[in-house]
Amino acid sequence: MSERIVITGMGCLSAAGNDLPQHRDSLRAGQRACQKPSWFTAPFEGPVYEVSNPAYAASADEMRVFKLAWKAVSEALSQAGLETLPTRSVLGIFLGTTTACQLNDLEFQRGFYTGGPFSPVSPTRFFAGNLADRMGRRLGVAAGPRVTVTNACASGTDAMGLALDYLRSGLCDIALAGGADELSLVSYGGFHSLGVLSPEPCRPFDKNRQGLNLGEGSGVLVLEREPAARARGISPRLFVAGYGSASDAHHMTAPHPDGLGLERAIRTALAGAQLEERDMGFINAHGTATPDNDRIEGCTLARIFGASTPVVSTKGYTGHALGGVGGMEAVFTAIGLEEGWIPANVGFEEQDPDIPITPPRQTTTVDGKFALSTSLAFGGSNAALILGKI
Amino acid sequence: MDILGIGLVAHFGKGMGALKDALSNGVAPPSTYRLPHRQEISTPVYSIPDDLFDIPAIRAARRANRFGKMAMLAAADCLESSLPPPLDRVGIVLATGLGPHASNMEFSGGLIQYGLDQGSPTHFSHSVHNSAAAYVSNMLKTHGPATTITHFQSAVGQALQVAKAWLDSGRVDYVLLGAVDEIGELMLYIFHEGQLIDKTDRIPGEGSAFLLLSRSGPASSRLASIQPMRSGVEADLCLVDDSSIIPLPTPHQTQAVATGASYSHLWGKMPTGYIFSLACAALKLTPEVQKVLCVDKSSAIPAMLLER
Amino acid sequence: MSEQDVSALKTQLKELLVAQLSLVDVRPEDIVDAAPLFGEGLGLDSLDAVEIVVLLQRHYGITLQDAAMGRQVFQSIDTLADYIKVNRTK
Repeated sequence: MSERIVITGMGCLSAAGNDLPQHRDSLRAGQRACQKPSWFTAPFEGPVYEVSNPAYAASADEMRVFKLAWKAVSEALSQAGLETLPTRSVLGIFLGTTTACQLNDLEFQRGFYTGGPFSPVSPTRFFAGNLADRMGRRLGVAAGPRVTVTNACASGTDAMGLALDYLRSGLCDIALAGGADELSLVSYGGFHSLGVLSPEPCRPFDKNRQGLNLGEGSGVLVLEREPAARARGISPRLFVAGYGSASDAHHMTAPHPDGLGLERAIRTALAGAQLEERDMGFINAHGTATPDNDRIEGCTLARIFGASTPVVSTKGYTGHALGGVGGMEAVFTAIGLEEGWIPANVGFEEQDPDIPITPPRQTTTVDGKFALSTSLAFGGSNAALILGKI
Repeated sequence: MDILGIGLVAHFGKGMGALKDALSNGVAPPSTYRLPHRQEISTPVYSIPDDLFDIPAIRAARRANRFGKMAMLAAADCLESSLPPPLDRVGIVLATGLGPHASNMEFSGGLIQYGLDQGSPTHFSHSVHNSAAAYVSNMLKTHGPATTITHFQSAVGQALQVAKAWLDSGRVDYVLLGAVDEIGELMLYIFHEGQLIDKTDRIPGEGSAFLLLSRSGPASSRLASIQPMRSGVEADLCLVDDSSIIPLPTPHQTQAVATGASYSHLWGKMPTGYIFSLACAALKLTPEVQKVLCVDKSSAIPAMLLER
Repeated sequence: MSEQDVSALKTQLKELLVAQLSLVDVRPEDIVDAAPLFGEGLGLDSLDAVEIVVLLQRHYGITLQDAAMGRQVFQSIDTLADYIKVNRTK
């Protein structure tokens, strides 16, 4: 097998914490932190997972989503010992998002409808904000791939998959990979219109789940080829073993009823990593808590891995942070793998007879050298990422 | 990489024949678009005639938005232009500058008009940037990876790098690489008020094009080979793409100094117009013109060299 | 509501469905009042169902959140019209 792609740094920001240690504590304690939206009101119920620190508010020249991304990127680079990038190393930046690539400003649009004067603030901020590109400029690194991945809710996981392929193909030497998204009133109204926004704190895989809660934040990994990382004195403990992506070719909003795209993504990742089903110590599932996602994902995972492989959804800690959540969940998968535990699947109480898996109700010890993280998205995109212990 | 097929749709029509025609004979004048919500603003645009969308595959996708329809049309045209690849080894990479912003605006317009609890779920689900790739994969029944890359200036160049990474790493054997951008009211308003367009030479356009790519193989099976420009290579011809409509934030090293023929006026200003220049470059290859350099003036990505 | 009004309501409903759901090759007058809208019949799917929820809200002032209730109401033009007759607020 070719050189391994190792994880040398991680960063994470969500309602569950400002950094890795805080996330570790929240997840271990089974603490959830959702609330009524604080900065917008809507004529329907639906708790959200906000990053409440005002330091991340949008400014005249920078979108909120960029500030959220920057926090995780800074933490990850610092953990990797890469505050200063080595000369002659090509840095690739791969970030998934939805909101950074949409001009979601209802006030601006209302002004347009009502004939008000043109206000350049949000367009200017928007056009300055291509996420990966701006991150490169912020880091002061001119050259290298700058890829903003927009595959809806699978964006973050797909961004890491791209980073893996770029590193293996020699298109970059160090990769920053993950995703970021901000809470937006437009997404909030959108998921409500689809009838999948839960009026209460979400309950992934529970029989009485009523839908998802939105969240925001960022999750980022630093990836490098193993010899290069070791050459600069790092002893990595985890690596990216495989990645698979597959399309349902079925429906814009509904997953394939038998999870065929998800299964194909998982089997591609397993084959690429030269692993078998039984090698997975646990699975961090997409588990959004919508009736359809959890039933289809739960059945698909049980069909592939058997009902006894531990499966957890961490949406009860972060909410569904759309393009950012794949990055966060890779971080949680990495922590669980390295430390040998998975958190309680917050919100899961009653077994759904239609779902053959039983997520943990408490923090649970796991073992195994590998773990899987899955993401499913609008448009029938499915992504699977396998991390391994060195 | 090899280019095995090219399909496209723009103001000048559908297919390489239509592009060839446009290169020789020019194009019909732009139409005038009066903004429905701001009647005092009108601007010339190069838009796609609606009748082109009236094909069975698109009629079957009843909910598809214009963004998805343009991509379906160009992808179908691309596959008609080449031998069909084994569909289980095909990945889709889609480049866009602005995504389906018209659907996004329609959705948020519904929130404004009817209330936050009365948005259209169809508009919302079609406002994600990967909706066009999803329609293409659904139309062709490809189950491989599909990824959408968004960048205001360099999305096509980046998508070419993704294609290379996928082919080099063996993830897929064929890549259907597409680009799509659409005209929409709110963006036209921003371009107009932000003085990014004028009525003579900065006319917004829309369209989509797809390249079917594979790893390099025998010369007989390809339309052209495509790779980043190498130093020390002399091109026989240089094309300079000037389609970009959104200026790069400074500081950025771009290819702005390159000189050569530009055909961007045939499709209009759009973030991913560079893909049409690549199609022109493929058309310009002859036994006499063996190497065509194609530069994206606004992009920081290296220029591409097309060879027979 | 007179029989004439009910018939007008059904005609309006059919026109709304064809327009809002982007139905192709279906004319409003082709939709049979008692025929199933989902599955066989018109072939509507889950995304159409939530679109109909919004349609009821926008045009008749009806808020329908309960999915089980939705399944009963959305069976056919007849069941939709019956529900609207009783529950409309505009």
